[in-house]
Amino acid sequence: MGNILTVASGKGGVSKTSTVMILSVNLASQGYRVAVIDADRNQSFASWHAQAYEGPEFTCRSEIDHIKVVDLAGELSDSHDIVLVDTAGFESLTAASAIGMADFVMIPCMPDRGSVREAMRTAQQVASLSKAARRTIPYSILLTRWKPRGLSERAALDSLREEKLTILDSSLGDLSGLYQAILQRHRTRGREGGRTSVHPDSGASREGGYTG
Amino acid sequence: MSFKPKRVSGADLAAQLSGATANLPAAVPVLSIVSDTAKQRPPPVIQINFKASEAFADLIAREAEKVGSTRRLFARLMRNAGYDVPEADVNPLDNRRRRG
Repeated sequence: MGNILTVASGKGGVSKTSTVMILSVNLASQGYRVAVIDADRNQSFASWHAQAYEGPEFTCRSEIDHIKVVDLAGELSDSHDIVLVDTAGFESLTAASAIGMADFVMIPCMPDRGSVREAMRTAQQVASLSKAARRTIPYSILLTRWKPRGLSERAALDSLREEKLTILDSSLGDLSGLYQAILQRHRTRGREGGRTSVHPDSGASREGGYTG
Repeated sequence: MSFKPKRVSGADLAAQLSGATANLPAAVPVLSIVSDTAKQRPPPVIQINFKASEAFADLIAREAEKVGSTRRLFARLMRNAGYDVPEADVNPLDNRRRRG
């Protein structure tokens, strides 16, 4: 039975989908059987997977119903090593279900006050759902678009530490290279009418990628 | 090494979390139930034309005026003759524009 990892935050634009892209491709490259559930109504991940991605194969399914998403994740975890769930950037029943069923929750957080506040709220929600589910749901904050020596990064980190939130040692740096690559490939595909390849690993790591 | 908890079904988990998720909106749009009294759109129709003698055309015009429309006249005649005529033709929506 594989693990279910949910990437969640009540705030949009904190690199939830990008985190799932990077994780899924890297894990699939290492030979893990990976499945991704796009539980965001916008279907950003599913659209990227269908139209622009051409790396190592992995399963991608879309499900935004809060009951069906649990059943689907359970079903996929039987045949995959890891199931990643990309959630919408607002508090919803589907995101709550995805947190409630998860073996681990990752909460992306950018170095700004709004992101930090939402990361704290999401962490509280995980704790509240842990109580309701009567089991511990482990979670960690993932620092995204993070410059280790930045001033706002330092202030954000202090706020997160004050709340005694668990923070992952690794962080994601500037992802602008990845976004540019995705946008360019979508445009190219639109012009050529064919499939093209976008590998999140290359975009993220080349442009400053992983730090910490 | 630890044993993983058995996965619960979506319905069970939703019931279990209901206390903590009572105020959360559904991500799936909820379809509103349309009441029977709501105005219904008429089914698609096609135009029928045919030629007839002037006397027969006058007769149709007179009888159609009595029942409201040519379509309703023929629909009623056909239904009375035992044919299965759609209700939309026997009693079509009155969407004519009238002055005054």
